[in-house]
Amino acid sequence: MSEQIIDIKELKADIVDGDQILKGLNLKINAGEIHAIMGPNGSGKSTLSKILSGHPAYEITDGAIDFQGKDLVEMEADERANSGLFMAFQYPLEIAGVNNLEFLRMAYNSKQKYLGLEEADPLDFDDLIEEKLSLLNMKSDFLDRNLNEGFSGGEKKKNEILQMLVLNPKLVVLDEIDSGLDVDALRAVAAGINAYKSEGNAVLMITHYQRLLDYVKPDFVHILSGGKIVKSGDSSLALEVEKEGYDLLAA
Amino acid sequence: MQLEEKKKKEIEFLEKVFRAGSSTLSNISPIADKQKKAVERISELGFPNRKIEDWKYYDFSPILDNFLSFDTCKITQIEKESLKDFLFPECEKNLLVTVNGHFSEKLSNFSFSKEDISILNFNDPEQLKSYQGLDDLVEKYFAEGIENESNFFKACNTALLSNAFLLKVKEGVQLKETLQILHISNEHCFNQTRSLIHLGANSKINIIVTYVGLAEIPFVNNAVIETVLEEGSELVLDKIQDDTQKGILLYDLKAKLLKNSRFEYSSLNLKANSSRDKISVDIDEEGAHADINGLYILNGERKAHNVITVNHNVGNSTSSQLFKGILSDKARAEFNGAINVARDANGTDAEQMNRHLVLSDEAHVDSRPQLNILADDVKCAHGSTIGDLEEDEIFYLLSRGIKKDDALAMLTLSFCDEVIQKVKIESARQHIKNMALENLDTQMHKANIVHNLR
Repeated sequence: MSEQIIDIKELKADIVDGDQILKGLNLKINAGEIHAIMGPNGSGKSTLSKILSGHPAYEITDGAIDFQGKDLVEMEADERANSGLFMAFQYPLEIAGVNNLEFLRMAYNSKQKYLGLEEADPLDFDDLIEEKLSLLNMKSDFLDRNLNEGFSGGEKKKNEILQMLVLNPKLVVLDEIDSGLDVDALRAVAAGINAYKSEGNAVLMITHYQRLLDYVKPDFVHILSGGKIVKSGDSSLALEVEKEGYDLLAA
Repeated sequence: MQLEEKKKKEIEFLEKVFRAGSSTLSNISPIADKQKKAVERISELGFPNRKIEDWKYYDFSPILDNFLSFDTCKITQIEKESLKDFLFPECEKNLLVTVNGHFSEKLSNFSFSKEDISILNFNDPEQLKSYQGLDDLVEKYFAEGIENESNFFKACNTALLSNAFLLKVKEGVQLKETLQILHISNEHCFNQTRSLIHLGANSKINIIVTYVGLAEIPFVNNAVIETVLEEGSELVLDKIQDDTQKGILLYDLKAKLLKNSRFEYSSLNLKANSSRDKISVDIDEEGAHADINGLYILNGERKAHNVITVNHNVGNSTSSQLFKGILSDKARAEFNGAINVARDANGTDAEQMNRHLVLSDEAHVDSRPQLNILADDVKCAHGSTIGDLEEDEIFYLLSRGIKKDDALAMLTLSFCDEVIQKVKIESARQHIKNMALENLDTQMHKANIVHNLR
């Protein structure tokens, strides 16, 4: 049996001082698997990604999350990242004055340091990056720009995938990575995800639409509604959603 | 300070200015005329107080407590080696140094051709007289409008005039090398520095002015810069205030922009006990553009005051102002920025932005943008924000494994970056970034960040 990556049990969570959004969510992901969570607006999709990555505006009120044998709930956001969890943002932030390449190297070295491994010097790091860039069909002048500053929607999403490839996490949570992408960008993003995917890691795609799933085929599809997973199945479930809409499935 | 005692000190200050002023009269008559007018103006104005709008938030006691002498400013021996932290390699060949207000020939050097630029010391009348058209230039542009000067300390600087410099870039000359003007203070004194920068038509120069303190003792830099940009000329002027923690900077910049000229200015106030920048830009002819920027990073009980006036006296001209401040501990900042658009100055396009990052509950900001528009067809925009770092931005960096302290330092630098990038010289930008980090909370792992960020 393959290694367990994450086990979410009866998770209840809310916005700090706000309404409860997740109302007892269960999800187990093993190495080598691709899961997709689909759901209508307001079902709790974004909350799940923020809870997993440790956003301070959200809090867990009940339940447990086991991430590779560690209690994820007790870990700070940076520790989660360094332990191998990566969340690709739906809306990546623009940070002026922080060079993209330097940022990537800092993030990479943070993880190396955390794991007790040697930090990469700039030259070695450049080699590592070049290979990932070509995979995503990105020009190297991307690296000289400031982090996401003035990037188009597609460029920002590709940059998220570039970060993912560099950090090589155990679990990737993709929060609506397909929103706002044209077909070419969607293909490049999918190519990045497929290149990353291996028997040792796992992917959790959170999406509203089925279209990403044409390019990255999930092993499991779950429907999230009212803060709970209401239905699970294989990739054919996504097609069903596309045809029937969420209302029918959630009913 | 007791009121009576304060009054006594103010009077003493004035008496000493009068005495020192009358003993330093230039033997070049148009200059001496202006000095006499300055003395008159000082007596009209009297020592400033907080009832005057422009000085509403200013604390005069450090000046009155420490600086009642003008005759102690003397030049001291300084080795160039001790200045290395403040010199920019790009300006190695063209460096003008003053020590406690006095010109240091030993520390200065110029590679500019005298055909291209004249650099003349007001303290050397023979040299100054050799400059053709001096009288006319002084009458028109030196201490222009001294009869109505509102800044008491600029009037003092005019009256006490010692080592002022005239920098005149000849018509049509575009200088590629940057000139650094370095003003050093290392004595307990109230020193006066001054430059009149005149750009001939279609000329261009980059100048970086640095105010540096070399000793941890109180001193005042009473600095004046006047500049005139003739038709089609371009001046890039960067000012870095790098004083020691007890230094006080009183600074007055006046720029006069003529037809199609371009003025790019950045002011970086990085250290000092307090700094006060009075900046007045007059756009007197069409097609001119002024780009006025500032950054101040304050911790402890330090203060920065910016009193800025951009006057669009004619239309079809543009200006932009961007001022950013970072405050921690009990720091205070004042931003008082006015855009005045004259009647008939149609086609003016002016903008102003003032942003503060306040990292402590005890820090305080007074931001007062003012738009005074008398023309109809103008575009003016202004904005002001005061806030903390964005939680989502911090989270984005954390989610990539970066430690919280590092994330805070990165975002703080990022906040400054927009202004830092305006500075043209690479080594100066790096210097400013290092100073910015030094000023940030010690818990921010500055060493780590400096190491990782270019």
